[in-house]
Amino acid sequence: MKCLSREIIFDYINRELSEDNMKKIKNHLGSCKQCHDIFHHANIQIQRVKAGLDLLSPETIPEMSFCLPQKTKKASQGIISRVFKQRLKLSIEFSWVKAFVFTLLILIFISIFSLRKDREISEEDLQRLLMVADIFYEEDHKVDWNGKELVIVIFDQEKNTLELVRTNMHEGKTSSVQFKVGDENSHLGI
Amino acid sequence: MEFDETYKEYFRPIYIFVYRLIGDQNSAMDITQETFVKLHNYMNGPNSLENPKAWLYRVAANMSNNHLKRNSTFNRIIKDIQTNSQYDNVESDLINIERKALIRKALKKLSSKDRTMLQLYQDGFSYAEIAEIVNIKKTAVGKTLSRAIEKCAKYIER
Repeated sequence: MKCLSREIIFDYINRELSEDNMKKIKNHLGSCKQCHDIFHHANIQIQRVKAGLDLLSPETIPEMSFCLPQKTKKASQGIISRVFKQRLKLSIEFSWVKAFVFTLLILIFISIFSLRKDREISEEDLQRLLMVADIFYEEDHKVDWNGKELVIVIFDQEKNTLELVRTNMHEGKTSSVQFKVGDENSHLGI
Repeated sequence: MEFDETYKEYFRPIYIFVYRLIGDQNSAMDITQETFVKLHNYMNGPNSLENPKAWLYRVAANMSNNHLKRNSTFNRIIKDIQTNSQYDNVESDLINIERKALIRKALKKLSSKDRTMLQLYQDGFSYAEIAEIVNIKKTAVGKTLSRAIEKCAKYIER
């Protein structure tokens, strides 16, 4: 019999060969010093590595919790349910939680919306602005307020022009466009 | 096999297997739990599970290796061990810490697949079982393991 490869010897150590091959190799190892040395060395290496791996085992093992499947079934429904179930440990039905969260979100939305409205220009400020515009523009004009923009249209009879002054009260931006009355190229189509 | 039975039978071995792969108690617990969550979902699904043991080890190994890739826990553990060893006065603890660091360094030299195979070998799995879990041919198991052990042993012996 030819000398054995390291892999075969390794398989022999692990008893992963057929019975017939196990016997053949056993006989060979008994008669071949070179192969026996490899066998001996491989055995030592295996024991050394196994002992090393053994050191990596945990010193303590946490206890099992058998409620895992039930918990995970609920938890897998979604992040919100997981948060409510595991962190707050609410005992009420999840559908009620959903309804509560939904209502809460609507209330938050409404309050934010109303706050935004409050921040918009007040009636008193608007009247003041319209008055200033009336005084400032002596020519024929029209002042309009659409809730967002103060629009002043000034008509110059001598030049036959219209000037459109738009002021965004939230952004504080003002733009002005001037065009002749009856000009077909006017983007306003007047 | 019912989920409860599988859980009872494999919780400890899977936890030990994962712990040895990643070396961190909290993460090992999380991965073990998550593995069983996946098993539970799988068992409740339309697919049947012929070999839950192989399935569990495969999922646990994949999750552990992904965890290692993400967090490079090996580096952290080795650093922790090295830091701790500077201040540890108990001789036996010191030897253990150094040995653990050495074996972890040796394992780090292997690919994630070889590392997993070695841990499965340590847990007494047969070549056929290892091949099924790691998804390689049975004939390749002995060769790969033999080389991994030799590489690991040489590093430890240095």
